[in-house]
Amino acid sequence: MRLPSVRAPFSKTLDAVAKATGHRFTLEVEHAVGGELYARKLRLANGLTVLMIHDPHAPVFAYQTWYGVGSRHERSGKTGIAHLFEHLMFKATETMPEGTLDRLMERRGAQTNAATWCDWTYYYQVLPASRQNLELVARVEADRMRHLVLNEAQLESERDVVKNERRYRVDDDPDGRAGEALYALALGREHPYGWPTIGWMEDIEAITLADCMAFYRTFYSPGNAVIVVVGSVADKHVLTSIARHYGHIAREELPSESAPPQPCIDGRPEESLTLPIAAERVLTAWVGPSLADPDAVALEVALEVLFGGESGRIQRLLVNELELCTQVGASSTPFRYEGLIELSLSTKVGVRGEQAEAPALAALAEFAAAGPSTQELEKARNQVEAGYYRSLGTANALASKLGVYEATLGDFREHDRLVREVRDVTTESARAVVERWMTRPGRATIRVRASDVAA
Amino acid sequence: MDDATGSRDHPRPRVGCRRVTAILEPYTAHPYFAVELHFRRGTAGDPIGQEGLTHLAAELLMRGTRRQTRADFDATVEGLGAGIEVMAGRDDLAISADGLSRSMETLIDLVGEMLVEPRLDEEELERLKRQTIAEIAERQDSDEELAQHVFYQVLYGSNPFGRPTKGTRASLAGLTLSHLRERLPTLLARERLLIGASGDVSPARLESALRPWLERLPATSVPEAPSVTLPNTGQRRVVLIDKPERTQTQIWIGVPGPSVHHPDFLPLMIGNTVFGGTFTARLSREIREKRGWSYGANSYLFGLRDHGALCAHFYPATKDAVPALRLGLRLLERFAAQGVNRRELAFAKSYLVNGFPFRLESARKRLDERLRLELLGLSQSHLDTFVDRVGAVTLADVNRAIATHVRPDSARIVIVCTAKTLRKPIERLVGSAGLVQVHPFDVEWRHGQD
Repeated sequence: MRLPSVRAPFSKTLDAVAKATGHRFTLEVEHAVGGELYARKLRLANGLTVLMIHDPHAPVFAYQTWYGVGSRHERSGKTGIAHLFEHLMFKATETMPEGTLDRLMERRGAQTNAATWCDWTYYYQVLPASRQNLELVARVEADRMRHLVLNEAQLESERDVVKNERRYRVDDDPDGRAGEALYALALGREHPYGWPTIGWMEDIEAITLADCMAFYRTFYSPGNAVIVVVGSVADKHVLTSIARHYGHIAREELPSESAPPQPCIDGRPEESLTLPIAAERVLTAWVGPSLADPDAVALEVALEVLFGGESGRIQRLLVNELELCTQVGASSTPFRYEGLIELSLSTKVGVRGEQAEAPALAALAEFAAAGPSTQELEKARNQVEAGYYRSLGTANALASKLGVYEATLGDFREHDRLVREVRDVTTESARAVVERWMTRPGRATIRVRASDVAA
Repeated sequence: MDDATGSRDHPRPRVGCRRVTAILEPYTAHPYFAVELHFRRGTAGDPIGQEGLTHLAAELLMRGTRRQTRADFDATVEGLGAGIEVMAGRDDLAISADGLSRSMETLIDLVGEMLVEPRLDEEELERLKRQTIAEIAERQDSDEELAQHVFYQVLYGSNPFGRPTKGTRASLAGLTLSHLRERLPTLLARERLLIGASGDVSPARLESALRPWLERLPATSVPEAPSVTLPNTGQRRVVLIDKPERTQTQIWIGVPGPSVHHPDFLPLMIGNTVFGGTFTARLSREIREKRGWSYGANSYLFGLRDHGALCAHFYPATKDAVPALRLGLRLLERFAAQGVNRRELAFAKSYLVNGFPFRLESARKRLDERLRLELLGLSQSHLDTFVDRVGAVTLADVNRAIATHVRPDSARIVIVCTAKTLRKPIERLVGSAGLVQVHPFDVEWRHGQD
């Protein structure tokens, strides 16, 4: 990677931080973000990565910690451990009894939470901008990176919470049930992207305290973490606090990264679920490109033309003209490795899924043959551009945008690839990408039937 | 453009057209803007039997103009990279548009065109009615949405605020284009309009773009202000929405509360922070953290112009539903009887004061806050003095507000569950002081039904 030259004032900041803390950051990247802001990526000797943006407009700052571990890193029989462990990270450390972390943050008005997905887990705090708050959050996050303590009672209580979360998001939710079934069918229950991030219920029930501590020691270390700080806090203070609290933590060896098996859908597997619902659903999936794939931008443009807003071709056809569906949508998984392209159709009450599926697939085939019109292409370009600026609304949103790309691909600069490359997408490249990915013979389908319709 | 009445920190320019108020929150770092038009009249004004009228009228505005068919209109708006949405709320009709600032004038022209020259096509109306009926039916697929929908109606009883905003199958069937033609001028009167804009937009550009359209809106409309008071019956009421195969329940508990204008509102907001407003609040600590019974356990204080409500929500597994409900009610009763203590008060005040900057974090959030004040009839200084006002609230203020307004004996409770499992234990729990009613999940709740 060729690095931009380090500007003199900032190298002085690095010197000052090193002098004050005994830990030196290496500046790796500087990059303009969203027009007038500027992001820097730095690294400590123990491998900890820091991304920071000084945004003087916000009276707050976001502090996010991204770990390069998600459900993809689990193994069969232990699914759900990454997510369950995320819950446990809010319990106790050697210096903070249970409940202290949340109380410390709430007393300062903080917004805190966390999320787990296939490729990553992240924790965030958003606080009013002050040096004291910055120092506090760096101390707390560094503490729970290496000094978490857990007991059986905490695990059991949080296991029950997670089981309830699963009931809420999956077991009693028709869309959650269908989505889970689709990934298992298309990729296989044993594929790291095929099992649900929340885990199979029987696996959640079987996770032990020893499993959790082993998971923690393996994946929660500076070399597997990215800290993203965005807001009106001074660069020098950010780096000083982080160096002071993380600099002494030893570098740990991480398990070697192995790519999951190449997804492959043989033929046209189908499954049906029968649920007490009013509206049937059809979910269809093809193997889809990775987030870094050269086709990813053209695919986003094509999906915008087909499904975006009220004027998307398939939206207009199925919802407004034929009145077969109440909702349609499609998306490509933003994963490090190849995943899925999902098409979802929610039909109007009384309409069978097959009735909506046929014209949707015909419209896809037509697009794969002729591509978008010039107007459709321009619409998609403008929507992508506006969507980018719309997504930068708060310090936490901007930090998340950078964090997800750094954690997934190792390069936050990819966060605006869509905007940078959208004008390069042509009618032909949008057409070709749909032909290449969405007219393949391999296609998995889940049909969700209404109890009375299916009877 | 006139200068406004606001402070220098928070300029409130008025668009110089018939004194329509516009609140601007500029932010020029990104070439993006958003504009909102709020007409202060909503679905609570729908006549009995015509529920859904305001919703249909608002949605039909989006379905073409005299110059453009619906498909052409959608393609034009979205071709700009922009979006327009309408939202018929209970007491205001909101039209919001956002997009790239280079297209601002074109987008505002399109908003104006849909307001002033709507197509009002008979065929589109019939399609919209069919689609709305389908959405109403689909609501039953989400336990959370179903629970909220019925809860609001049970909480408000026969009050107009409890009317289903999208209407019912029966009411929609009876609505015609002539009903909508009659309703629209009463909704879109200029005297009821409040405008907000944020992002890369200047007062001059906004005024220039809006002026020609504002002049063509009706100036006034007939008064219409349903008085809203929530029933406080002294009897606990439980509605079980019976849905098969549930592994989990959705529980909502609500009691009437003060309006935002009532002096008790702020003390009660502080009390609610202690009761269920944070991760470490009583509800979350007892139901989620200690017992693992629900993924979420929170309470909310809703405050509107002339009424409010305090509501709690949690969603335990079926096997834990009765003990969780018992505990939730016990916590509510203890909250009502004993209030909060000095330590809890200090913590809640610290949380609210320190968290205040988030309400002003971005131009969009600042705009939302200032529009909310205006719509609620509160002064703009209400926000500027928030921190001081919280600081001045005493323990006696909070506990008096709780004792006055939180009446667990009048609680309204809605539970989505499989009733054959839970009906009897819940009847035992409620006892003779309450009424337990079972309603099938796939039958529409009838507004005001007892």
